[in-house]
Amino acid sequence: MTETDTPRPQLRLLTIGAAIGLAMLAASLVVDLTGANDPEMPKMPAIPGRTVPSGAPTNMPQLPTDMPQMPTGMPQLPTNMPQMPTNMPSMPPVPGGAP
Amino acid sequence: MTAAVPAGAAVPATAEEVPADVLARTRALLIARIAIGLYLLELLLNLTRPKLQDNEPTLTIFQHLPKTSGSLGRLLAMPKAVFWTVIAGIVIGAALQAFVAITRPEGRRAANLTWATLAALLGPVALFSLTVVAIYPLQALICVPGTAFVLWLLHHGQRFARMPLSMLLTGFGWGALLVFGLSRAYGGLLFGAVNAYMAKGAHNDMNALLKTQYRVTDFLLLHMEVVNALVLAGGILVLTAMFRHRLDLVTGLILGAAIGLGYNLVESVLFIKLFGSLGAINGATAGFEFWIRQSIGLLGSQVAFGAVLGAAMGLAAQHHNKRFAYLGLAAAIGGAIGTENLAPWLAHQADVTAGSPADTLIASPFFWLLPQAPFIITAALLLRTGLRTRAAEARAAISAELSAGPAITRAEAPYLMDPSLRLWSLYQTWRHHGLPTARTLHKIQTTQLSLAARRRQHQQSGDPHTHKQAADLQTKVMNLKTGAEQ
Repeated sequence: MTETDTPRPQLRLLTIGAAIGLAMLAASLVVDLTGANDPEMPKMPAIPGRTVPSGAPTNMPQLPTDMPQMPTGMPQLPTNMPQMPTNMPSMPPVPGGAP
Repeated sequence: MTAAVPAGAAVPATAEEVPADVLARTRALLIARIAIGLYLLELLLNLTRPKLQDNEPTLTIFQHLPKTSGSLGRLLAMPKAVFWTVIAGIVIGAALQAFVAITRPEGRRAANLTWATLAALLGPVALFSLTVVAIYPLQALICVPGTAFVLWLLHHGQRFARMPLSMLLTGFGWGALLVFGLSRAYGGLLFGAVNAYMAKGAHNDMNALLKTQYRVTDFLLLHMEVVNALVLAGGILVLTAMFRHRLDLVTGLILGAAIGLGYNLVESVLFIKLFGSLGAINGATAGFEFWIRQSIGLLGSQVAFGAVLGAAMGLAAQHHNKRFAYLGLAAAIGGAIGTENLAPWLAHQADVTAGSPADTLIASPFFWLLPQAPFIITAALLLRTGLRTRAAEARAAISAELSAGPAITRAEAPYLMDPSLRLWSLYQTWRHHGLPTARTLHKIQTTQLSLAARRRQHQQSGDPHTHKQAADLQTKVMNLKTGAEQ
């Protein structure tokens, strides 16, 4: 296999094409590796922080330890309730019938 | 641009068998062996991958998709029958090669066995593409007019030694069936294998898992474009040897573009269907994909990269200088990967509302074609220089044919040398003598040009087959002129 006269214009065109191709390949690798083409991940909403007024107490107040004693003995309720009457008068009929 | 005869390849044993046959078969067998070797390697990688889930299938390509996935599921899934047909083809191909190595057949029988081996090894790979086209016939049909138009352009864009239409169509088939088929066969296996290795430590971290998948997809794209370019280059070498056609800048460029066009067709069908199904999620529609891939970008993408690589292969063969081929490979691979990555990145930088008329009609086509523009321009300029060289060759060949015989007369020579004069003569004949006469004149002129080209090819290569072709063409010209043949 021997080289014949190399046509310069065609060689130049292909060299430029190859150089652009390699440059685009390098740029593609950068885009790939940096994740510039990756679809955006869905972001979870963050809970907004509450603003606390300055000077607000940061510690819990101390509760008194000597609380008054509650009475433990409950009063006895009466068990003999009076009997209610069972013969109540009936309601008069609604004119036009029952709804 | 010669290939060593691999062991087991058919060797010419008779004087009648010309070396071009053996060269074509040797090249094809070498390419088939490399392609199948790579496929088996990726199959092995997929088989031995770390398992990410319990009850994972042996191969990731057998992963069951949800029953409700419908047409989308069919699109993404690999049909098991196709996989097993490929494996059966590899086994049959290996058995045939073993048979050839043992029996050492000669002559026509050896040739038939080599072609049978190739059919067994590579034939089933075509099922990947055929499955896509068969499942989505409507999407395939709408891509036919644009594709046919570009094929027509490619056929008529050549001057002087136009390659036979059958060669152009075989190139188109090589791209549609083999380049796409191998690309998909490798892609499915490699994605599963690489993803398993990279996602091994990220079981519960959804963000890490997603990021891993993006990087695997990036790697897959790189692998796919390298394979596409190599199979395309292999196709150019095999087809020019098979059709005994001289490989020069124009032939390589046209054949490379035709192979790329075939690939584009099947890929377009897939994308039109895919984005038609996923439109609700990603916003793109089937119509938009058709517009980008089969209308505004029909001459771009693999057609442009195939043309540049083909032209480089042609120059390498013409001038016996492999440097052209390496430059072509760098341009085609880098350009294809760059376009796929940089076009969406550039579009993302622009503040255009996705799906708006401005985006669909201007922004998206602009950003899709921008990274490809240098390669489309390079292909166009290479074609221009190639056609100029051919015009000079045509003048020399026609002048030589004038003294060789009566097929071309002095009165006809100027018309044959000048395409515009030839077109004018056809128009005038049509006007004054009708369409059938103009058609006969066109046939005579085309045959005369082929005759001059074949004669020149014979003088340069000494191939006895081209000498016989030239003699047949000379007889055909005389028959057409005397009216013995219509």
